[in-house]
Amino acid sequence: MSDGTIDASSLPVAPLQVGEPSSFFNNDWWSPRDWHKLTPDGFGVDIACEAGSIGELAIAGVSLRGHKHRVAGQPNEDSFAIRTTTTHQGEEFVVLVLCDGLSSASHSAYAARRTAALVADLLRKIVVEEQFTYNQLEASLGQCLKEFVAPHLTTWPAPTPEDLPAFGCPDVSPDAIAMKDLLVTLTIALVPTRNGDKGASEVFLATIGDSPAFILTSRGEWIKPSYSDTDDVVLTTATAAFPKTTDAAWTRVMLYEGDCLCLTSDGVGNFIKNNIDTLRLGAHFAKVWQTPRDLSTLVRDVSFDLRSADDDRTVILCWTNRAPIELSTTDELVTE
Amino acid sequence: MSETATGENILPFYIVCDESGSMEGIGGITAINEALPELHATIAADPLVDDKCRIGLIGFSDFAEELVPLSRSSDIPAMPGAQAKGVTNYGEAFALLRFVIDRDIDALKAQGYQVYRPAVFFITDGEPTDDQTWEAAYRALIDKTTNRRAPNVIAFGVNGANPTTIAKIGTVAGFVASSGINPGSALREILKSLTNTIVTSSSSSSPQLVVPAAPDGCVAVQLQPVT
Repeated sequence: MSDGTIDASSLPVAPLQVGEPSSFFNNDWWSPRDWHKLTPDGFGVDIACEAGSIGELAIAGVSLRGHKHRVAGQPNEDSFAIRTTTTHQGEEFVVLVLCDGLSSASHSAYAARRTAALVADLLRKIVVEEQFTYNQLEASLGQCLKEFVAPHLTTWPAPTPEDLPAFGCPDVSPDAIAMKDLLVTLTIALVPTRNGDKGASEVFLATIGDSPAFILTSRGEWIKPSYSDTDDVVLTTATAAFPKTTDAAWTRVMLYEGDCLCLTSDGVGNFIKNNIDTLRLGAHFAKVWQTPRDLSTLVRDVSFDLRSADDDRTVILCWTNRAPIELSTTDELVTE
Repeated sequence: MSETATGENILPFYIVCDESGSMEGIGGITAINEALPELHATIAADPLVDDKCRIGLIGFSDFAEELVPLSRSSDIPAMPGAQAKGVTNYGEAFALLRFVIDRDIDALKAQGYQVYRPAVFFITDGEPTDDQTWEAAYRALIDKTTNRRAPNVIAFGVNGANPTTIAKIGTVAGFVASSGINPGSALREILKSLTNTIVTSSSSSSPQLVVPAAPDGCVAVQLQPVT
């Protein structure tokens, strides 16, 4: 303010309220009830956010630790990774990866973090190869996940009594951990940063497990893409998890101008749309997520209060509509 | 489901207690009345469980009575006590269950909730006195071909309960107290097991009925279909 003071008159941010308030709504995180505990090993990740623009796109990822993990003092078992890369021919892409650790897997928080980063870095490498095409990616993705990502996920320095644990890795030897303790869902999107001739771009999507991806159209509809079945699929991909399953179901979808690509973990996706209907939260997001949001508002969106929504929550939003936000005439820079 | 549905998950649990006169003699009514407030307090104090599950309490003897309608545990001021009454009319209990489950699921769905298949904990100390007629009401309750909302039933028997009858009533599990075990003690363990089942089942992000192990002092029975 021009008189040198700070205007703190705006109200604290409260989450979106969906239905009746939950038990957590009126509970401060520092309350003696201890419903929001630290994690012994760190990596609680109560709030993770990454955002930026590239080409014609605006991208934002948000991940929040769920109530069930806050109460238990356990880490966020979701993770996401965003990378940019350019093909040999100069076409620019953004790589989006989302992982949700299975609650039955004792080291799934580590697995989600590591898998998201490994897969995103793998795709960066694949895209810059001279022969990169979507056809080539579809043919080779499963093999790459199996031969490159899975071994790296299950390899870390075996700790000795003198060592500290390697960054975020389990504090035991890899031999002591079974694959079932590292299971995660995996959702991948490869998005060209510029539209093609007809104002649309072709997006590559691949998935293992049940973390849903959506297209939010400019008409406000949530569309769930249909995926191919892989040759070896016996169970539906909804019951699959990486690295036990390395054959991803894949598809290509057109992202038109005004559409928003939305990757979610089921902690959010299950409250956007069920198999048939758009739910109350989904109807709200369909309106407010047509264009990018400032980051504190986006974190507030994902912090919605809804009874029984106690899982970790992660979204990655990829907007094609970057309509400028008009600044209020009362906005002014803080000056000395 | 309409667009106004929130997608909130609800897992309904119905506790069905024998209030026949014989329950008083074995200390069963006292045991239940001591254990129910503990169950209530445990669930109400757990924010994850309290938000996701609903508890209802039915007592039965000559007739069946809804002692606590299906409610969020923290919304129940206090658990009412069971009272020893008359005989052991299973048919009345099953008929009332069918009615309240239909009513409750209709009400929850109208409010936009996603309702999981209800779980029933059936607790008895003896054989049914309506032994010629209870099976029809039971079949009407649990037959999924005619009742889409058929609950999962876990049956518990103490004292004079017939293991064969318990085996017929349970659809996912049945337990009887071992001979020589004090019935009051067995009932206290049963209520503890029940509490654990509710907490464990409701704690998962995708709620599902977690079938308990045999409570201390009880053994599992092999289930048999009603013919």
